[in-house]
Amino acid sequence: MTGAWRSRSLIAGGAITLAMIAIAIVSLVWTPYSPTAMDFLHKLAPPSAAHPFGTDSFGRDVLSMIMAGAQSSLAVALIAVAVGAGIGVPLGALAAARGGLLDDVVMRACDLAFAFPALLTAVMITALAGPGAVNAMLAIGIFNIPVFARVTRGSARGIHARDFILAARVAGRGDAAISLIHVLPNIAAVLMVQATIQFALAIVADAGLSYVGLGTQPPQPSWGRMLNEAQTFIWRAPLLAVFPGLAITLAVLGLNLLGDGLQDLLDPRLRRAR
Amino acid sequence: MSDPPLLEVGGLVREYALPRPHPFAAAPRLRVLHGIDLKVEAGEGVGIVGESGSGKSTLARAVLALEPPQAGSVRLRGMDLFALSRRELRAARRHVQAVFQDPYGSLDPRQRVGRIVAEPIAALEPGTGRAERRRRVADMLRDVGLPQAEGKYPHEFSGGQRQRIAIARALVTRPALVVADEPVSALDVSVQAQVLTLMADLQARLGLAWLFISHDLGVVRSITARVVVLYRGRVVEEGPTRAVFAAPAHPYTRALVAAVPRVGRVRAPTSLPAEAAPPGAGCPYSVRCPRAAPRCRAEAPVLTRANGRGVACHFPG
Amino acid sequence: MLDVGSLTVALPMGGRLVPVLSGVSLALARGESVGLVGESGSGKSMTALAIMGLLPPGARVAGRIMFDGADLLAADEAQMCALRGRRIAMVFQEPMTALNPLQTIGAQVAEPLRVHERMSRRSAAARAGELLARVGLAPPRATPDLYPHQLSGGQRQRVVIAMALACGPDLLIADEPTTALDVTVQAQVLDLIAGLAADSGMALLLITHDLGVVSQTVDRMLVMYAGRVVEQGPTAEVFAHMAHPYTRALLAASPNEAGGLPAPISGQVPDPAHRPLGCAFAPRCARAERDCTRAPPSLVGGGAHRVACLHPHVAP
Repeated sequence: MTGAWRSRSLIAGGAITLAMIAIAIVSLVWTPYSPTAMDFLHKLAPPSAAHPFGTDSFGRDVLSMIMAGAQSSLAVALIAVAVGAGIGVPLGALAAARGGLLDDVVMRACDLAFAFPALLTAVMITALAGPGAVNAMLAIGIFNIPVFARVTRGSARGIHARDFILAARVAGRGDAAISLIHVLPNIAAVLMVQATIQFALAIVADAGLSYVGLGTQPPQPSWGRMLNEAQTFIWRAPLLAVFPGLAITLAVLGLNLLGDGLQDLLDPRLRRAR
Repeated sequence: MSDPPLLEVGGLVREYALPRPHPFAAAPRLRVLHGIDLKVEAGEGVGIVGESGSGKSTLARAVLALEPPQAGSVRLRGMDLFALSRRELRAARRHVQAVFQDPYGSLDPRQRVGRIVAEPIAALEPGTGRAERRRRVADMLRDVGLPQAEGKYPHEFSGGQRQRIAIARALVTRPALVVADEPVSALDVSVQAQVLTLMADLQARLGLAWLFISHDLGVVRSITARVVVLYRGRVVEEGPTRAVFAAPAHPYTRALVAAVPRVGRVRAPTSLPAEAAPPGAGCPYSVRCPRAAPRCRAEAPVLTRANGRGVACHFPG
Repeated sequence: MLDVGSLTVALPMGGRLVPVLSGVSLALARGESVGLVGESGSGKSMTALAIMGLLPPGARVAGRIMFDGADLLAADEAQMCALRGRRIAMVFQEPMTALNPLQTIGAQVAEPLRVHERMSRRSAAARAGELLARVGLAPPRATPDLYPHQLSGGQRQRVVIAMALACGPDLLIADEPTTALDVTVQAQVLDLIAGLAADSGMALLLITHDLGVVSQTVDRMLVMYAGRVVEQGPTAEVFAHMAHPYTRALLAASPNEAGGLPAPISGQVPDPAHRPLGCAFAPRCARAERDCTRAPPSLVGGGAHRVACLHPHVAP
């Protein structure tokens, strides 16, 4: 029974995530209307056949904006996670392989980074460096580094305790080769699960930054800014806030389900391998 | 002048740092090996026997140049392993390989057997061509009785078969010495006998020397010609395996031999007090020894050799 | 007191039920010690788990397990819980995993007393101190307020034994209790278990792969192979007149006093899903003939010594 539930969450999560990626790709070449085209005759229109999600205060088509908004959400989250993993994973692997002082320094640096509230500091960084999608990516990415470093180091230490690492050292492999050849393939599952979780968090962070105007800049639509703009009209057009809110919720839910499913899919293999 | 022995360990001391009691204290040190001397000649099978805490695995790691000692040397054919440059050490590693205890932990679960067995060639003989590497791996797997295993993953094999794969990996660079740390203690009796037979056969055929580390006297007795008994990081007795087990000179060796459960023999009631702390200056075994005299508690005995046997005891017999 | 009859257990593996135990019968009287010998995959641990009612979910069980007149196969989980730890206790191979690292050994020995006997905190603690002394952990060498990590492997196993003995069980099942211990410590722990069993009149079921341990510790023994009992009898008699080729092969494969290489048994223990039709040992057996491959032989023999083999070395 639990097995069926697991594969269900994997399928549902995978489907939602794939759908989101597909929408982002389609929106590059086609949206029902241009997401930036204003139509003041039909502003704040309720959902209809012409505008399935209605229009906003400038008469832009909400469906088109949501579709195009997926682009920036995905791009920001993807690069933020890539930055975090690209720096955090090697740091964590190195700390686990070398141990000693290097390990202490890296881990204390992670503790220090964790002591700052991530979103507030991201706000500060973008406020200092100037608003914009690229700065948002870097600001969110920086806070992914310690997360990946810690997870990598923790799982890698478990692998380092196994005899096949000793055998590789007897076979003359150095720390870097051992990390690449033996450690990373054995912790890839854990890292993938962590990546989906961080991806979901990055989407929320991006929405937050855009909401306060520090993320993706107009006219490029973004889910966070749509929420911000909708709040002015919350009594006249409540649905205007519902659609971007739902988009964020669905994306995060999909990624979390995918992470759960992946964890359960990859876990038994790790257990059997012991 | 005669050739230097294949392996010569001299005065090996290994200490580990313990956690500091408070941040400003010096880390206390635990001495695991108290000056070990050991010699292995080419083609010889030498057993290291000891219980947990005797330092036998630490000795193995030092011989494999995995952890540097605080004092003493490990010489392979006269070369001090810890004085070598990185490149020279890599060249030396071809001649010393290892088999570990846990057949489930010693093979990377994500790699196919072919790649696992080829790893020492890939790392230690990088100039080897692909075809030659493949041929040598195939030959080696056939030698250990697992032909055509290259494409499979470790989890498709039983514990005994995995240990054969580990042996193939250890022998693929044609080493002169293989350090085997409890290689059969995780295996079932019938499989244990298969692996021991294979190891003895390979020793005879390839002229290998084994440094065979085990807590199991029966296993050591069956595969080694010479044995070294360790107690709390010191050699307490050494000599030809048969002679040592037939007439142990050190009281500890005698207790070990008597404790092994044997079919058809009534076990002598155990009189040894359980684990006790080692004393400062005296013989480390004196707390457990039925023959301990005041001298034993005051002065540690040194290993004295005669007629190919050695014992570290004030009152051997 | 314990009566296991024609016990058959099948476990779900790869979508179908695979028999891991086939017709295992075993009786234990009060004060008796019986050894269950076999290699991994022989079903010796599965037999113990079946008696304890701890089989993995999905297991299909047939046969009979009676304990002091009660049918354990019909007992529900609440009844088994009341029995486990109180009347039937178990000692496992790895003492560290059986102990809670965050509790003192005194508290852990006292726990079954508080749960099963509803003793007060104070009297449970006093009793725990006595039990620890009985297994050789008396002050000044060890006190009840030590934590597991402060003890050696042998001392930890003594704590586990003290926990098992806390409620004065009628049956102690010890599954490879000394395999993880050093030889000299192993001998002490075996002596302790055998001595406690003899003193308290409890029955002992000792599970091990080591023929030497069996020979020196128990009154009666059963040799298991591939889910069946292949030979059984009084220990001395079995060793004096080994009848089953597997028992002999197992002894020959064990490292021996004489030195020299032990004789390997060719082949492997068959995987439970692909056991041969006839005698499971036939493919590895030097004495196998054509009739061995037809049906698994059943245990035969006039007296207490019985063997399941069509061509035994000696007729028991």
